[in-house]
Amino acid sequence: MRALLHELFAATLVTVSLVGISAAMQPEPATRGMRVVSLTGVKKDGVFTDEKVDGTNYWRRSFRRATVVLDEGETILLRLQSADVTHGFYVPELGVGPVLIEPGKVVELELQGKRAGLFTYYCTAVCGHCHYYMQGTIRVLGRGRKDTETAAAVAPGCRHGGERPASTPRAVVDHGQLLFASMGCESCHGPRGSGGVRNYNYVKDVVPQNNLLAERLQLFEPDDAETVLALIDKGADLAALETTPPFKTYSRFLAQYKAVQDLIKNGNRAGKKDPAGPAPPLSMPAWREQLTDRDIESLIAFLLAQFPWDE
Amino acid sequence: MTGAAADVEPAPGGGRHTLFAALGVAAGVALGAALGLVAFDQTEPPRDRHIVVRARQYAYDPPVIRVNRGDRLFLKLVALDVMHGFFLEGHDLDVEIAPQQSTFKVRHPSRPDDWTEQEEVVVIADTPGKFRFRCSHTCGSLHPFMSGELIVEPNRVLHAGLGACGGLFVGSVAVARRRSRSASR
Amino acid sequence: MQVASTPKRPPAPAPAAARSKHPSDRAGVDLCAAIPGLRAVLKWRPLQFWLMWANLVCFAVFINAGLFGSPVGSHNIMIVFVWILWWFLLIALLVPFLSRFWCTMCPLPAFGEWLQRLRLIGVWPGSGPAKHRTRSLGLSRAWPRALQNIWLQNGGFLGLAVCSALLVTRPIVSTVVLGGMIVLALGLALVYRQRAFCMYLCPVSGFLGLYSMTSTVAVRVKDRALCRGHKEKECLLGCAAGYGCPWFQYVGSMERNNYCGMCFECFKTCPHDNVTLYLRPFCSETGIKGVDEAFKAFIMVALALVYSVTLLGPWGVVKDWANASESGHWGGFALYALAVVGLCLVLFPALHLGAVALGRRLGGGPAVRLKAAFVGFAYTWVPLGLLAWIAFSVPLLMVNGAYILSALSDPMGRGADFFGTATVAWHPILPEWVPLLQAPLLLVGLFYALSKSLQVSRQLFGPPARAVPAVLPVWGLATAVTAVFMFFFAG
Ligand code: SF4
Ligand code: SF4
Ligand code: SF4
Ligand SMILES: [Cu+2]
Repeated sequence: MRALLHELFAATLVTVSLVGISAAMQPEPATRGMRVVSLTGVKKDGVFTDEKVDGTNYWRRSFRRATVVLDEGETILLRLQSADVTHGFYVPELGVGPVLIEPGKVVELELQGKRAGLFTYYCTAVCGHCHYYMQGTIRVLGRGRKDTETAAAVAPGCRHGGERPASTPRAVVDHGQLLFASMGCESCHGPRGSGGVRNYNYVKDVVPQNNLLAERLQLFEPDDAETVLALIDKGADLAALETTPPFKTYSRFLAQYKAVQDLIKNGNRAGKKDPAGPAPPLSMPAWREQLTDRDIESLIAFLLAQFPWDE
Repeated sequence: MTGAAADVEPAPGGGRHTLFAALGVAAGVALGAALGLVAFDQTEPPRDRHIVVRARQYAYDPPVIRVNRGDRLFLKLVALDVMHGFFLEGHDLDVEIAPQQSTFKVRHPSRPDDWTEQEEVVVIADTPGKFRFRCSHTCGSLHPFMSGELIVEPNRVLHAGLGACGGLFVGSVAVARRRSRSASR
Repeated sequence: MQVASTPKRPPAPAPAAARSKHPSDRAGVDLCAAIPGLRAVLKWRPLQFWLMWANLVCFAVFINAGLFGSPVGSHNIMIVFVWILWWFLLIALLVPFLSRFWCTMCPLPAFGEWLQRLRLIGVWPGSGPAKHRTRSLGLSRAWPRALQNIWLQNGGFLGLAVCSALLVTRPIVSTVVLGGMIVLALGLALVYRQRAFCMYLCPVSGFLGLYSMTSTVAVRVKDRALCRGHKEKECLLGCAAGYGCPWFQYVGSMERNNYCGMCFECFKTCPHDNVTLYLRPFCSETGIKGVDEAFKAFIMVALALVYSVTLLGPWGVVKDWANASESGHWGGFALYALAVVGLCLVLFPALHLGAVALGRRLGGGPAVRLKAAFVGFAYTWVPLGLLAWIAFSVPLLMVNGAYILSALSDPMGRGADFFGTATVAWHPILPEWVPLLQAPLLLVGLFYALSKSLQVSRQLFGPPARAVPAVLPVWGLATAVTAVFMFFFAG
């Protein structure tokens, strides 16, 4: 009889401890009296997601990009985590961040819906291939408003560079187009460099469009641009042509060409409009470790080919 | 018990034999280690080296930096994909490297956290030996195994270790053969 | 908590005739005699239950964290505790000093064994004689004869080793593997007798057994003559006080630690208290039996080399190959897998075979069968491999020990802080001293390898005049392998 009791006790102990542990290990995070929104950075998709990311799903599937919705005047608690590498989080317009989010740690931030509108959050730590797509929207609803407003212009989903663009007569332009999408240039400079992405507290307010690159390179005639494109396509060294320069403004072109190459290589920190305000979230990164000289030439060629000569 | 004398039913006077064998083998190890130290202990005069170290998931390029004692290393640290670190053992140096930046952040772990932004960091290789540099910024699945090596010649632990291996072998052989000869007599 | 149905019995006096004149024919200190109360503890039936339970609780934490915790390995208790803490304790402390004490408390076969016995603590007594003194649930089949060796364990371990870069970095992979082992052990327990899973399948078991030969403790009988004269053989067949050896061992003639899972059933069953725990010098057993065990020895040394390159080495390409599921280098992975398997199963055994064959010539001996020499000399790699593994594991703890503190407070990597240590930042402890620790460890390994292989050679070849030349090539190979380790660790 005592033996039976011992067995029962042992069996109960095992069951209770196993069940208890499983239950106790799904803790509800402390809310501090606020609504809690958990965002997890996922490198491979280039998103902050509001889905739960754990061992059972991380290696299997993609995660959706989170849109954070709150009411005007409401304060929520953001719990920020990373499932893989170091990410950053920054909402310049609402005065949150930038903070680094280390994997395996949790960063808690309060986010206040100061005024109604659409705001963008950014990842501010380069986190891999999809980093430049890692942005999302914070929607602060005005009093009594329903969640019906159109989404802010948020970068498209990360393209892993797999898709071949429609082929143009020049391979170098194709290659440039591919890079423009796969390196994430388009996430700031717009599709085909059409520009216009907002950059909070940046001197020019929006990221410069760069489909007007031909102009900046002092190429005012379609023929001149064609000549340069042909040279780049052939892989000629533009600075050391054997024949005489093909057009009159060539030396001015060359100086600008060099300057643009350097800008892509070394990047540039975006200047503040209001010196006391927050740092603009977007800056030109330095590409010299990620892109070869040929890659950079290709990008320039692609952008040259985008100039709207007809208009 | 040693490579030689051990374990077989000790002949009369076996205790002395064992002691002798142990001494023989130990002498072999010590001699070998000393030999290793002396034989390889030459280095070139110190010089300055400028090295770019590129960090990526989950290794550094170059993976091994081999220098001589007294060299000054001017390191430029670059991350190629995500944020990495560069924690150099034995040199009180920890760096946070973000991709696509022209600077990186440096701190000295022995001092309280004060990060400085630098374009280059100088390491004086004044202690010989092997020092690994490890990633100190969680950077993905294999992060705990992301490391590289700074080898400052003369790498004494290696030389002495190899010498000791050889010495242990030679010493054991000598003792064992002596033993087998005396046994056959 | 003595089980009630078992009246406490005083040790029955042994038949006088069976008593040997020299009770202890083996070297070692009888720990049960030296430490008061130890025998009582080992005979206490609930001992194993409590040990298993404690580990089961930890295990439940690991599994939960692996499933629902952060996928970041270095901040998930599954990875940190299993692959840093447990591994270090196992290889550096438990195995060399306490033999298979891990198997006493290992939770993997717990459910299977409890189900077999329909008890967690007590004994399910049978009514019949001999084989039916205790009962068990399930089919109780005998394990197939052809598989009564450790080849399956060798294969399983090698398979896991090839995937080690995934296993030790992804909590979910560890979870699936460990969880799978529990399920497998449970299934096998219902089909086969006793600890068939542990004996023939558990991937850890192979090296636990092999390296336990070096261990400083051993379960043995005090007096073999007593056993020879003892017809009842409770230690083998079980009785009301305990089960017959679940590991199919007959302790009365057991000479090696390899397959004794230290369950301490025989302490409970032997009516003469003839079984005890001996303390003995490191590397006391030298007899490897069978090609399967020899290969286990090769695999372990070769894998220590492989990991020194893959995990501790600085070369990114190798890491990319080993980490194919993330890097996408599947071609490289195939190459890597081939290289690892080739090194373990072909190259290393071939080198060993070459050295042994040469030694056999030098030792003047067609008298000694090549296979016997091949298997016997494989013991060389046991102390060397063990010490190389310890040297490999030392930096794991010194460098990544801080993860243990943070994972303790935040097992899921989800921002908890149970003991206030969650925010401990990663900081290696004296990492620049690691090579200085590793080099002597390797030398100790080499020393034992040389000394013990000579001992083996004496047993195989007889007088020193033949045994010494016979062992020289193996000595040379062992020295060369140690030098390679020295290069990886210190150079
Ligand atoms: S053999 Fe394996 S499963 Fe069995 S007890 Fe030992 S470690 Fe656990
Ligand atoms: S150990 Fe086994 S065989 Fe020996 S006396 Fe005890 S029960 Fe009998
Ligand atoms: S019963 Fe078997 S496995 Fe258990 S301690 Fe005794 S010999 Fe070892
Ligand atoms: Cu890293």
